[in-house]
Amino acid sequence: MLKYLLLSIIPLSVFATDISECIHLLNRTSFGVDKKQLSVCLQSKNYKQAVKKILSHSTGIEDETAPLYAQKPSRPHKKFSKLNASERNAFQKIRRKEWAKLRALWFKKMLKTEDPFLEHMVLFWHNHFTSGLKKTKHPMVMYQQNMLFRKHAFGNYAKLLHAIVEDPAMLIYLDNRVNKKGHPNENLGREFLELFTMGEGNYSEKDIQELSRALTGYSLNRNLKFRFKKKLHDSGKKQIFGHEGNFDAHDMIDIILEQNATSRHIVKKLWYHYVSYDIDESELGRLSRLLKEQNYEIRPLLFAILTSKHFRDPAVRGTMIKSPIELTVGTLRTFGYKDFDPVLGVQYAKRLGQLLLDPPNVKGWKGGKNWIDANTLLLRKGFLSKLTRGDEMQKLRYDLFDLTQAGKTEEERVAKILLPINVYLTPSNNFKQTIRTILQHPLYQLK
Amino acid sequence: MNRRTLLKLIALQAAAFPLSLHASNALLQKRRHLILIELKGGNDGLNTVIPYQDPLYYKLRPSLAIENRDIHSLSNNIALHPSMVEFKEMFERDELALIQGVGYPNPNRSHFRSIEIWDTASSAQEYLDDGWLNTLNMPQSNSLKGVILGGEYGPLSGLSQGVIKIGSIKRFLQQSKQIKGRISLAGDNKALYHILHTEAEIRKGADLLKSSLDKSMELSHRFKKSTFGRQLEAATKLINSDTGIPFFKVSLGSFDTHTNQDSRHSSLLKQLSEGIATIRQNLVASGKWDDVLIMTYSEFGRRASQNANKGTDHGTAAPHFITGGMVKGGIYGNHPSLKNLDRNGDLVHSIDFRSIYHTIARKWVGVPSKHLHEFKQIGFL
Repeated sequence: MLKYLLLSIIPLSVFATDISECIHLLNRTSFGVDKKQLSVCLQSKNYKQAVKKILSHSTGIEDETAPLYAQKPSRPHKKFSKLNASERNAFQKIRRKEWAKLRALWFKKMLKTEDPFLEHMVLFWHNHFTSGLKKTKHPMVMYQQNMLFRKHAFGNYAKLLHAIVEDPAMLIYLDNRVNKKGHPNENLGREFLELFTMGEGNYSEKDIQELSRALTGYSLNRNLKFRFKKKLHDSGKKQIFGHEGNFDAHDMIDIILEQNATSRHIVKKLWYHYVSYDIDESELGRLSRLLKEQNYEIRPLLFAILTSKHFRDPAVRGTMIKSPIELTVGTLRTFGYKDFDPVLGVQYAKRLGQLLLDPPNVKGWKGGKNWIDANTLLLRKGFLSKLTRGDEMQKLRYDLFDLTQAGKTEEERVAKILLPINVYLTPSNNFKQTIRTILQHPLYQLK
Repeated sequence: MNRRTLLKLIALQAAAFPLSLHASNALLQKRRHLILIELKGGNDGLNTVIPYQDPLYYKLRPSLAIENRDIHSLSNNIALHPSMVEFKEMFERDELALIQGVGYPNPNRSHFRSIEIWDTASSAQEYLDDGWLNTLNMPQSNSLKGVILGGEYGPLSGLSQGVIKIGSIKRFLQQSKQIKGRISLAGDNKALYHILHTEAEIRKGADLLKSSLDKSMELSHRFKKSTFGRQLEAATKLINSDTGIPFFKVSLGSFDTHTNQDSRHSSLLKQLSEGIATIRQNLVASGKWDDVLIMTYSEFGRRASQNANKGTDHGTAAPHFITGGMVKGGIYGNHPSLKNLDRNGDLVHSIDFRSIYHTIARKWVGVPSKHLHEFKQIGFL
């Protein structure tokens, strides 16, 4: 294998874009580094062209038929309260299986997709507009929400906001079905301002109350489709951020979108997700203005972020911790192991602290350093060592490493693709051992 | 970072984590231990410590009230749940302190937020980052500071050295074999530092656990083969083997009994009572019962009146238990009134949970605890 690898190496000069920069771009946006993506990046005229390509690839449109269990509400054959204990257990068992299938379906998409950046952004929105199966119960609504994120992944944030207040999963997750005229429930209103749009400290309790009134009546029918229940809606006068009128939720969203805090909040969130855990004030200002000028279009913002001097600064490489999904899906994609059992993949990511379609609470996964403690670090290393144990290594593909330049040591060539920072490794003369050593390296946890 | 600077950094880092050995506080000198038992999900206080003489209790809980004939009375007006026979025995031995009506002002009823308040000893309006045990000014030690055997880091969360979270000791030792534990500095890369630091913790913890378990003897009394039983067994073994680890955290639950509370609650309380009794038996046999303090805590109690699903919803104040060879047993504080509920129909607290923390920090750990000063100590130690 070693000989084969050395023979098939392509000379560096055919590539226009710097390989380390490509690795950085893919590590941050695309779950590991797969051969196809890396070739696309390397063959681009220059770095900006490469960013454009991975962004334009992502159309956000996908044709697929919903699986049967996500086509209708998940209900027993008669009223739940009429079931006896064993019928209940049986029903809940079936439903838990459906949950597991839905989680695995998404994991599989991430594993197999030719457009990993899209899945990465869907995961971003899932962590921004949180909802979860444990509360919403019906796979259908979580499936539909996931499709909504797909549709708008690189589209327009304003449109996404207007859609999310009519999204069944969200209306269940944040209790808006019981938000009624005269008996407001502020759960959705509060999180909408704190987490989804403006961020803490930029609004008052009164604003929450007024938005919650505007959200009354945004509910569901028996089939769990959105329904605006006029009788439950408070159509009276409301005030928010200096405006007054008989606003409904959509009117209020337009006002919220005018607030500078909103564009700043969303820029910050994307920056923390893609660049680093700090952002300087001038960059934040520049990008928030851009987002507003572009009427909240996400694609131009992402282009600006990924081509910013901060993102391109080599010092930023390897300063973020991979999420459990990035570690598991990313490693499997990097080694072309696309047939890995997605049910098992979901299980591993769960043990590492990230159960798909069930963030721990409405704030989403904390991320960053919180991903790693003594327990999860051991589990991460255990996952990586299982993948490279004995025969299991035959299921992995190594053709990705053909893309690196000749003339260096094997270790250096492999490490250059697998690790975010160049590092010196003692030569081992054993390819498999090299892979194992690099996967266990502390830097492999970083992106 | 290029290769040269990285190599230079590695050379610079040889002795990055100096370990000083000035053990001057009571807990380390006397090798005292604290076991925290988290009752996850919010334990229903009213069915744990039952005001069995109060007609209001039966009115609030038409189908959930515990029947009189099975309870273990502690006084003329309160009794323990029928499952807690071992607690009753410990109470009679004067080793069990019952602290009643524990809570805090402006109680929060969200699991997430309220446990954060308990974990960090904050007020309802304050947001703190570090667990309360982590803010105690402990001297550096070459031993581990704490082992989390169940649940989250909680009271030991935050940036500190020497706390590890493990599922099972055996698996932990096996997995940690692959960790080299090279301590190398990461320059100003905070993420890399965090990984390297965690690796060093694992190595240190594994070495320590291994050497102490090699010395450890078989337990004289067996624990139940449940998740909770295994956590307690691990803590007991580590205490028996002289590791000198001061803090252990275990967790039991979920106590979040919104529906059909009765049987689940009863089985959880049984596990709690039996489990603690088994720790006691083992530690009495090994002569360490006087060196151990055990306390329960939970994010909140539950609503005074039952709900429509034979369960109870999130509430506020609740009783908690403290036991150990040195504990002055008895009843502290009064049972919360069932007449004067707050406007949500919840029990009003009379003892701030931080009074318990303050007492433990001063009298058991033996260190000052600046931000707990304003909370009156309680006489259980």
